[in-house]
Amino acid sequence: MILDEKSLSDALQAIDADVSPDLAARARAGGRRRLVRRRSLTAVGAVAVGAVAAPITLAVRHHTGSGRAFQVSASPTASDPGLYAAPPAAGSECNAGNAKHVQPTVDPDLLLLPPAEQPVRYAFVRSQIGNCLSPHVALAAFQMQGASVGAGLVVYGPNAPTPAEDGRVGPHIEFGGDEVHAPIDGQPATEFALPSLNHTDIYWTEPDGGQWRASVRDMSASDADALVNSLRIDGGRGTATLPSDASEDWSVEPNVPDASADDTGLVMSQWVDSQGHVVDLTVTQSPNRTVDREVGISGPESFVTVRGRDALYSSSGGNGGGAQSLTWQEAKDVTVDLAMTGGTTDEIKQVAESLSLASPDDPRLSSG
Amino acid sequence: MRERGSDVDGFVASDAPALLRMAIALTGDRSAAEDLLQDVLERMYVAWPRIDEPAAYARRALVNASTNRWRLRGRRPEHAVASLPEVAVADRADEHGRRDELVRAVATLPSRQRAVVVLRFLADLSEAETAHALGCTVGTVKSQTARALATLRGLFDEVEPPALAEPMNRRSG
Repeated sequence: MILDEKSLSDALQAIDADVSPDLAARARAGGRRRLVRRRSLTAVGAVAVGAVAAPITLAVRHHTGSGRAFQVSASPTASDPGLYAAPPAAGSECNAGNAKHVQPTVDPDLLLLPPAEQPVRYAFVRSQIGNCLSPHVALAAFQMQGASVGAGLVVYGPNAPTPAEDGRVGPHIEFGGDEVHAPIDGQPATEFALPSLNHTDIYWTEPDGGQWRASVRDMSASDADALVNSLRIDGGRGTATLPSDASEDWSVEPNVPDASADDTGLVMSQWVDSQGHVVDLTVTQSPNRTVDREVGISGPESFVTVRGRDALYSSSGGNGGGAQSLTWQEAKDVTVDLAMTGGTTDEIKQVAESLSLASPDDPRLSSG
Repeated sequence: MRERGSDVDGFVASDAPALLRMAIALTGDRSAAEDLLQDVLERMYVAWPRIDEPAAYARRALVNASTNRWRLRGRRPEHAVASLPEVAVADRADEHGRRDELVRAVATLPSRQRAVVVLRFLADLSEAETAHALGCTVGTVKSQTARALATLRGLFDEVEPPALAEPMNRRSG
């Protein structure tokens, strides 16, 4: 079978999609039920927000001596725009470059490949151009629930993009979630909630002009609101701090510098293992990307140990089907992403353990 | 401001077949796809007054919902494996079967690759539109497309070298 884009498109277009005649009626009935639930929850939430906001304001007044919630009058954010990078311009394609092939000798520390006897479909080295800076990460934290990863929180600011700059709102843009407007730190905020994913993104502007964004996963939108409202924001230092009574429940990523806009190396390879599973390996030179920070951003299920290091494990479709992935730091500034289609947790771990640094003159590296 | 009710019904009548096709390709399972689509349509009913482009909203919502591993766990085909059973490839009469195999193979791709394939080759979005829908860069769309095609070619024993740096698709805007 010749698999090209046309045959793929033809196969997908040929899917039999006879729609149940009562689909519209069922969707309408379900939608009405959701509307009723939402109106009930909104009424309850309005009371709850009022109840929560008062003590937070008091606490912040105590902390800053200011009459306004979270106001940091001495903040250099507005007066010293050079302290943090400007957010990416709307529509810009930061880090879009898949860039160019480079000689394997450029990044010998990235040349992680399967054992020499394992043929690969391809393996190549590229440079990836980061053409704009990411917003400053003020806080990255996660919770563990037994052996599984629970909630995650990442706060960006005071140079976070606005919803429009992030491509979330604007003409011809429609975000696939529920947009609500609840105050954060007493400031007007825009919130995007994906209830089915338990993922909430909240954008707001501090009184000093600092732009902030909090990304919360695996918490309900109302819990995310309460959590973000409990943070202590310091635009001057670019920090967001969990309240002391919550800190025991959270693992907080130590502050690390923001990612630079320098070029980075990238080694990509793909092969089929002895069990017939397709394996994708990406080794990236990624300054300041840490595994713990990834927890808050993505949605891994658990930590496992591979190659003597903590790795984030994620899967879709269940053990033995679908796909699974591991992410770990092989060395300082070197992150490995390993994905396998099918297989079990043990099998992907075995593949991870089998990887080793290849020689720059490994003939497999010319196959890309 | 849009009105609910008849507008939603009209949208379902016109767009539901294409959306169900997308959902099937994303989940690999018809009943899961129907659940997914109904869930999305219910949420659209709630958000309808604020939705400017219902089709784009629905596509993105479907992709987002399908990547929710918690929701899909246990619903994906139990035997969605990387190595597909051998199929006869020479007889044109088997074309329908081959297409089914290909659709099932798409459903086994990692979620981001699956979403890119469905948006590019089923919804016929450009690379830029796909990037916009997924909230990623055009470069990511290109690399994920290349990886998906390489994986699918491998599953069907048609191994071709990838060309990640070059646009691979009909529309590159």
